[in-house]
Amino acid sequence: MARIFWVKCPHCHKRFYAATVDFRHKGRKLWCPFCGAEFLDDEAEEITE
Amino acid sequence: MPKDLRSFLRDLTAGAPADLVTIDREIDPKFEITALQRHLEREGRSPTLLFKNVRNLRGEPSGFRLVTNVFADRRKCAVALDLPRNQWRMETSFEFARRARERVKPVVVSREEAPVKEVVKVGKEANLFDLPVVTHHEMDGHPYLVDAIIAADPDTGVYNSSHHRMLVKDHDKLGLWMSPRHLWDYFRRAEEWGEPLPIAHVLGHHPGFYLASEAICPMADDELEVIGGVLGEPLRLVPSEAFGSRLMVPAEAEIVVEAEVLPGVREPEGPFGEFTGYYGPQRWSPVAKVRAITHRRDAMYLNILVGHADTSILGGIPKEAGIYEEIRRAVPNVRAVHFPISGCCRFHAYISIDKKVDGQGVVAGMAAFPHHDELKHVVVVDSDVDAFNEADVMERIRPEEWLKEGDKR
Repeated sequence: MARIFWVKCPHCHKRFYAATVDFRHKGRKLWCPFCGAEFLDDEAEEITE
Repeated sequence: MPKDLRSFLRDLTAGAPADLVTIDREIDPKFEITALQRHLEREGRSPTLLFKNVRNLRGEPSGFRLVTNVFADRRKCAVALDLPRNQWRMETSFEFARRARERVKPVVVSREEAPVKEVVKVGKEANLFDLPVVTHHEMDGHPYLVDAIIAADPDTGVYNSSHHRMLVKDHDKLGLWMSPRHLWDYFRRAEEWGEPLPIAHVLGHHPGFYLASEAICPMADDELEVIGGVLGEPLRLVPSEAFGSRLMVPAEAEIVVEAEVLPGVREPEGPFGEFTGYYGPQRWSPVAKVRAITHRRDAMYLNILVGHADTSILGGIPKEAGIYEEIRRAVPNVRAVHFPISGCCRFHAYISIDKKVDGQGVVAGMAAFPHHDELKHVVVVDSDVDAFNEADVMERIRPEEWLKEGDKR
């Protein structure tokens, strides 16, 4: 199983998680499954890893 | 009559009408179907559910019926393999293995003979939002196709059939997460050439089709022949609309979504409530463009509830007999191998042996691990313990002081 990190969406403030190898410090935008917002990991309201 | 989802439902209800529950009230595929299945699961009930009035992804009546919980009880899998429903233990696993070994080549039929071509929508007419695609769990956020994907090896042309999550991103766009196995390798090679990979998502066929899609086969094997073996008859194929004979699709399917996985394109996909019972994380995944959707006039959409008994049992039965054979090479007196639902039918194995000499238990346990890379825990018990009864197995795992007090049963 892939290592994960939790993010809090800066738009709807809900939390979800993503694969570290795919998104952390990669410059790829995450996609909030709750509101559809796109944002970089560094733009997340909160990161837990 | 060729086997299909309808013939299975007839077989299922012939012996036990209560195994099929029909729901007439209108239902939303976002969370409502999963919630009902979860409720029944908590009550220890697992009837196959037939929803007759399901909304599509625009919130309108879809016109499709939806079937789920087809695999949620091993007795149904016994019926799917033409066994009496009371032969649901090792007999079902042995029967699956026997059939999977006896490969049957598919046959090609005309469009006129193919029920899946009764309604054909190509290009802009092919709209995923017409379908009652289920959103299963809260963090999924979006609907997912979860049945089986078939594709042809871009080098050899042999077919793979396997289960992968497919996120509905738009009316003609899907996100696709592939574990690094056969389909992933097909796409990797196609992508190296800059070519898209044609795929077909088969939404509704006989349960034997999906059980066979969980068989562990070498890459060179044609899995459509395995499906024929498990069905006990040739799988009937018809050329796809978008790709012609480059991608053959099952004639008896209820619904087929034809798409191509695009080379060099990646987008976020997930999280998704996975077979483990936990969410798989958001991934940077390939994207597929929908090219055609074909279906029966009164099609039934098959949904498999991932992360629950419906998908656990589907994945477990094809593995049990394989591991049994591996163990039997080292311990000829192995009696049963069971992958319980408590381990998602992947992570735990209960093995019973008729032990003749000391050490055979350890050998049986060690022999199980190389066969299946997801296996984490193995419990080996004597053959007087029913490996299919978890309470019986767990009773044998108890502090040694208890055993010294004598058998309390």
